Amino acid sequence: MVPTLVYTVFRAVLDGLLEGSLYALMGFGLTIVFRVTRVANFAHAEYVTYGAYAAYVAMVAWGLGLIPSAIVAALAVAAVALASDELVFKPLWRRGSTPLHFLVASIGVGLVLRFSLQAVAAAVPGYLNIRLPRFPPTLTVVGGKVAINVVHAAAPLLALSTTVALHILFTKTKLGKAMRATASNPTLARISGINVIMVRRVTWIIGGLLAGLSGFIISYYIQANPEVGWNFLLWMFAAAIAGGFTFYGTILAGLILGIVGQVAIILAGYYAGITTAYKPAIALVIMVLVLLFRPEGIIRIQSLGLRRRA
Amino acid sequence: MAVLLAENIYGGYGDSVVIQDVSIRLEKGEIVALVGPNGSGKSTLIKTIYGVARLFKGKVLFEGRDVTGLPPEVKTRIGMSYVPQTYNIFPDLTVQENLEMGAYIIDDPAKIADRMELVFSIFPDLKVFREKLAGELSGGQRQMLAVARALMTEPKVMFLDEPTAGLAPKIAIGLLKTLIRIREETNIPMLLVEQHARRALQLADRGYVLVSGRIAVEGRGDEILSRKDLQELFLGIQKR
Amino acid sequence: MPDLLSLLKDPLFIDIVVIFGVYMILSLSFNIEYGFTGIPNLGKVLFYAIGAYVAGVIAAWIALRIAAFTPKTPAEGPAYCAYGAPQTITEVFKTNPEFAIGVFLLSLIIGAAAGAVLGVLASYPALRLREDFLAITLLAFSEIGRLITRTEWWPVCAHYGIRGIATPFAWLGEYSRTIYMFLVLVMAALMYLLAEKLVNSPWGRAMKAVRDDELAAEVYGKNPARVRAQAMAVGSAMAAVAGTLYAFYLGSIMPDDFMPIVTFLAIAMVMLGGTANNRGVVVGVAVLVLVDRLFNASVLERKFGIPLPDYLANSIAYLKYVVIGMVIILILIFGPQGLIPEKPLKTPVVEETKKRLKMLARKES
Repeated sequence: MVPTLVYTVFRAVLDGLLEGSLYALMGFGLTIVFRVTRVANFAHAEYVTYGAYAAYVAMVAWGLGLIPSAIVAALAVAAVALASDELVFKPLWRRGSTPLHFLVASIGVGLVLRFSLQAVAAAVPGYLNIRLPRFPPTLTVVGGKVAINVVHAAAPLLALSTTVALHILFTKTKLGKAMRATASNPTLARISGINVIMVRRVTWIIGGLLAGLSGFIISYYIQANPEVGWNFLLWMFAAAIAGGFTFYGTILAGLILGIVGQVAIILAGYYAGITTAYKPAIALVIMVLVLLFRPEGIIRIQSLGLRRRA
Repeated sequence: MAVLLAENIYGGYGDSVVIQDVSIRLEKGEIVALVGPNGSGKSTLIKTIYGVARLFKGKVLFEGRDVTGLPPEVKTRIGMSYVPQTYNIFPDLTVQENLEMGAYIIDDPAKIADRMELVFSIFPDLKVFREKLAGELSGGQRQMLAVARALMTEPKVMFLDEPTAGLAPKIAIGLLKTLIRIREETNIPMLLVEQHARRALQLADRGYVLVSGRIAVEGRGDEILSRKDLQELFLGIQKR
Repeated sequence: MPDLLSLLKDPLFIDIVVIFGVYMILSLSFNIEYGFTGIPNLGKVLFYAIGAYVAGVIAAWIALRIAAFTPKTPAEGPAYCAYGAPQTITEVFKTNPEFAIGVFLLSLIIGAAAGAVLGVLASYPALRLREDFLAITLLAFSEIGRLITRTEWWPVCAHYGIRGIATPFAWLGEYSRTIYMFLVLVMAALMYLLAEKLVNSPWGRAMKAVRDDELAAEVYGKNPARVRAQAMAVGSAMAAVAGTLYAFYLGSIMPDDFMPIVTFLAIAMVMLGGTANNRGVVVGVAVLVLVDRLFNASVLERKFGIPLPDYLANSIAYLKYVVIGMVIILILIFGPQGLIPEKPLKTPVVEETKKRLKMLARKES
């Protein structure tokens, strides 16, 4: 007879994998935007929320299917991300703002996005709490206790394949190398004939697409409200920062954060009576410790070339 | 017809005018030295011509075409090339990737491979370190890479802003010799900014002496070198 | 003058003035850290919360000791978390003037001291981190703090919060809140004078030097680490004072009153008024406090007779944050100086040099 705790932990690992994949997908967007444009983008959280709502509108109001709704979510958020750069960050960059100005501006963008959605959701009945009206089908039930559904498998697969795709983009394609070149030395990139404006646009679009997909997964598997992205904000920053703003680093850090977050809190509750309310503290503490004592990230991967400079 | 003609240039940063009424030209296959004391505006002049600093007034002609006010990326596309004095490599990219980015405007992979072979034949060291991150190279190797990157586009004119800055004398002379070799092999005209006036004028065909943002003297390299009234300039700089 | 009297007793008026005073102090403290010293303290709300919770804990604990209160049903956490405790606490405020005023003064002092100590501790990362990462770290600190207050019954009653606190003049009856309002204004004015005094002192110049060029500041014998720690100590103590004043006004201290949005509001106020300029901060705070309090459906309808359609009535409270976000963005893009730009330094030496230069110029011409 397998003890219940084993099932509980197994369940936690599964959920942790799923959550960690989300942290990674969101962290990628933060990473790529931060590398290329130096914007530590707090509004990324709101992109995720917009993805969740876009998917919901596509499915409920327009009657689209699951995959088309996911595509709508990704595209809509890509547009929002691009618009926030064109309207806010690019003008700031042109006038020579510092990274701190970018960060504060991104807080402003986040407030505008989050609370205009709040205002709409408060006025439209049924929009304060949403969940896609389709439930992820169960793949198998382990030991008669732990149900594994489609999202448990799809989210990690998506995160992994995104990692590989981003890696290929950034190390094998001309566009990706131009993005890295722009990140590394924007003036020289211009002098080399790289269209840095185009590079910027592509960067924000990719970040937006990934945030939109994360939002879709949230409204499909969990549920969403206008604050859902904001609640993920520190987790995604923790993944990106602990990953040293590299792709492999971010996915590893994201998965570790996800699994540790789920498992540690269950074990802490089981053995030490610590409440689950402290779960976010894991992300916060890891992030602060990494920033203070290992600012190049927990995982150093230099071959990616997306190395962090001092 | 001059390959490059800059006429009555006024340039600087923000609202401050550093360069005042400067005209220079660059003929086919020529190495032209731009020398002058610290802070005379040598770098600013190049930056203004290339569109990195602000151009207030004046005209820039490249192969007879008016390129005044074109942004740097467009100037590169039409055959100009520029090695900045600092931040002239992509430190987070490998040597090979730096060169590929130098050839960004070329679409034909075969041609990029050709250029790379040429560059590696000029700078064999770079071939050895092609997989290394540029940020991990030594000072001399970095400057080689900076020049090599600018060569990748098959430029018709090259601006070099103090490529020997901060290098040990032996390495600096080696790099200057390589520049002469590049000129012999490719016939690319070069505008060379140098702190070390004597050294630059010895290897250049012609030279301009810039003082306080204006051209003080121009002429053949050996002529300028032989002028008694300018000895102080050369000595003053050599003493540094 | 019945109009003035009724205005002075008007809860909305009192609310606007008190919140103005509280945010005034909070924004001045942010300005000292960010505007003058260059520390982007996105964790500002943590120090504000410290002041509020210190006040709440001290006042509630002493009040219950005076009233010899024992909870009828054993409560989680300290006695003041128990059912019936808030009423008892309020009752002590209403009947015991010595207690009310004494505990207020005590809370101000202890709160400010706690804020200063915590500020010095939090200045440690400021030495090691780049501006943007420092901002994220301090924000994380404030969220960890909120997490703890939300969860722990000892000593802060978790999500239930500390309730039943009254103003130090509660025993005066009818006009107690009006008097408290004036007290908050006086405190804000004092803090303004203090801030002005500080930033125009040699120490203020050291802060600006550290902000503009740390290396140069060090060359001239300023210790950037110490200047930063001092700025954080002063700024955090001031924020704690703001929190204490707020706690005695509001009467209940709940974890979710201390979300990062409070920090963001203070940032918007400072930016609107003009970073590194205390006079500007007054304007910025005034404008945004009005936005904050008037974007409220019931206020608009009952006070000003502007009825809102249903869809707007539900969402107007959110729209104020949209306005605040827009303020941050527009100021950054179009006028990073804010409404009133930073003044150049004024010192005897600078004035004398200017005079001599003018004389020289006259001689030459």
